[in-house]
Amino acid sequence: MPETLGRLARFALRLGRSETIGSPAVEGFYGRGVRKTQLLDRPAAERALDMLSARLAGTPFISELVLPPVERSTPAPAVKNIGRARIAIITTGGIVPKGNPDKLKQSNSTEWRTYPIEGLDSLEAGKYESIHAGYDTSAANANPNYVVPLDALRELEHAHAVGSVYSRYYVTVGVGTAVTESRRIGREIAADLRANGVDAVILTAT
Amino acid sequence: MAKLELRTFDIESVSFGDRTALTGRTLMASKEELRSLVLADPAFSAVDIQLVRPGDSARITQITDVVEPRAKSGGTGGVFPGLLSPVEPAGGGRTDRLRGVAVVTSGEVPWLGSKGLFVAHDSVLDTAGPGADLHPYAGLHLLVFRFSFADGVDHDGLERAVLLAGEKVARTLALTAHDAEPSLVETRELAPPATPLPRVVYAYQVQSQGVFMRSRLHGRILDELVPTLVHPNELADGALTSGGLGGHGAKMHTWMHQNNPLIEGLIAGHGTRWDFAGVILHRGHFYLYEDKQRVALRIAETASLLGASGAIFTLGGAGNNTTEAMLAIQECERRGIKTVLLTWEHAGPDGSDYPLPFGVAEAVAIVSTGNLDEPLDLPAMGHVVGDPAIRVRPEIGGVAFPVDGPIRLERRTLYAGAANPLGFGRTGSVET
Amino acid sequence: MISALGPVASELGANRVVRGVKIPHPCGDPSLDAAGDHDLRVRLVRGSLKAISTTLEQAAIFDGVAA
Repeated sequence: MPETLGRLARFALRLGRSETIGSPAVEGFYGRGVRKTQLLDRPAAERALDMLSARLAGTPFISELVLPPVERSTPAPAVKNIGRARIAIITTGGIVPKGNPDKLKQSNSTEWRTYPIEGLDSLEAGKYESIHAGYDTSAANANPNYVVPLDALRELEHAHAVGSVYSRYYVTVGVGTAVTESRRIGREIAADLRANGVDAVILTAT
Repeated sequence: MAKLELRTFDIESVSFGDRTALTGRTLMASKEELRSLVLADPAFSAVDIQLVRPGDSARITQITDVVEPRAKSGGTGGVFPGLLSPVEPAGGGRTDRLRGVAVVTSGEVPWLGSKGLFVAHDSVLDTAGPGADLHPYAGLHLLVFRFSFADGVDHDGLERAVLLAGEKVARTLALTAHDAEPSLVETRELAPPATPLPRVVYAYQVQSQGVFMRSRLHGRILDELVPTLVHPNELADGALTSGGLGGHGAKMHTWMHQNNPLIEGLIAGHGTRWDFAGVILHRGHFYLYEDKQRVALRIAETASLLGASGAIFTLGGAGNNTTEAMLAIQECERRGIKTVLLTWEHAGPDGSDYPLPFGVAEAVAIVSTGNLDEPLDLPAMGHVVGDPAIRVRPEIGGVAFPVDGPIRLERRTLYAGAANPLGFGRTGSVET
Repeated sequence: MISALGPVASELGANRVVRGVKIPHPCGDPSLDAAGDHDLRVRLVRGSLKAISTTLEQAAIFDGVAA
């Protein structure tokens, strides 16, 4: 314990003096999973070829990146009576009213929006467009229902396959979106859905 | 068997003069001659030519391509086959290259109302300061061609014009070396090693999914590319040209394809560390999951057929380009082929996010070139070559982002070369 | 979720995934005629409703295009 406290104290002093701190492996602290870009001692290509040599020879190597495990969630309970349920559409495909009135960003999104679809049987071409920077948007611009399938959902609503279609659809842009931002966007949308009595969503991705 | 004699002429100084000629290690370039050469293409209305020397402090805006001067000086075929030269065998005979100078084409390529993926995305590049470490051009003399464009030219025409212009100038400059004394002569031949060595392949991913994001092999766009085995010597002659006018982050200029450091290293180690069996050229970002699986299988089957024990991978772009590479890594590892992936990360602005958009458990050996999402603070440069503002936000019609002083780039996607997709630079990721 | 990259979505944590058509048009196919394309979209949405009504212990991919 005294030894550890000593090390901690010395480390704290270095932090306090804003000294350059090395990697967890070198300095002996637990990594926080926060990565910073720096110039290393050799070009990346050389490091890659050395790693290849090690793999071929079966000698030990240290991967510069270890993929973190994906967090899984328990599936939400099934909707019992879908014929009475209120369904909303969410898309990460960047479908917005033509002209992008709220100036949603085409990538690295940090925002989401909703737009009214009350009384609409489908999304009319020419009134909507896709501003997503990661896919060829010509098909979606010619028929926005390809990404926000309102026409099909409306038909199923008329046929009583669902109780109702929620009066707004949700949109964000799913390219270069940080996972932490995605989680926050998801939580906010979920809260909005609950507040508006939505039972289930169809989320379309591009 | 493709055997290439590659003559390198080191250039120590470049200046403008009344003719284009190489004298010793000094290259003289005639602005008049080069201007006529490029303005023969009616897509351009004007061009301004400037020189940036090593050590200058310059910020070059809106780069469309960078090309190393190369020309054939023996054997059949010409450089940039299928574009400047006929479709003939490349990678044999003799090729001259000028090392230490590069042709840079640039300009504000009109967006013509396009809002999403298919625009020429603007970038900046600094030749001094912290930005100089993020691309391979800081030690070179840069002959920068700043184009203005004529009205009525469509996207395809604009793309072709800038790419061909760079290639034409590159060849013209390299032709000056024909009778000069080279600094270095190498014979590049992947002869069977004297003793058995493990076979390796390089699975080289490029982007090609539409205008401004197209790569070309022997002049043909690669949007429908089925993974194809290519001899590295063909790439030395410009058989693979840039698709780097559009797309964020990992734009690869023709210069990068000509000087790929992994290929240089694989050739250097051939016969001692490994038996380099070739390049498996492929594209990523297919829109259909089955197409990604097809790419993965073709890469793994080709590597297997060649008897490869190892395969090294790089990416041609961000986002779901990663999927093709990861699936191919999975298929290779299942066949006992050991893989290494070189990639950048998208770990969010503070470096704490998931680093890659997709992964497979079999990707156990990864070299990282750092986090492209990290902000980049750049000091003012001595001067700006090009417009003092670049365009951002095509999805709202474009917004001017001034770049003529100290700037903060919220993400490095606006900085040419920052992703370090082929491993030129020393960037990496350190856990803090 | 309706996604053309069904296995990717499932791999990354989406619990109910319906395979879409293609990235730029997950809920349709411009190569079909209007009627065929519309039927396809209705089938995809119907498949989504089925997924929503199905009790799951763990993530599953539901037939979309194939349905």
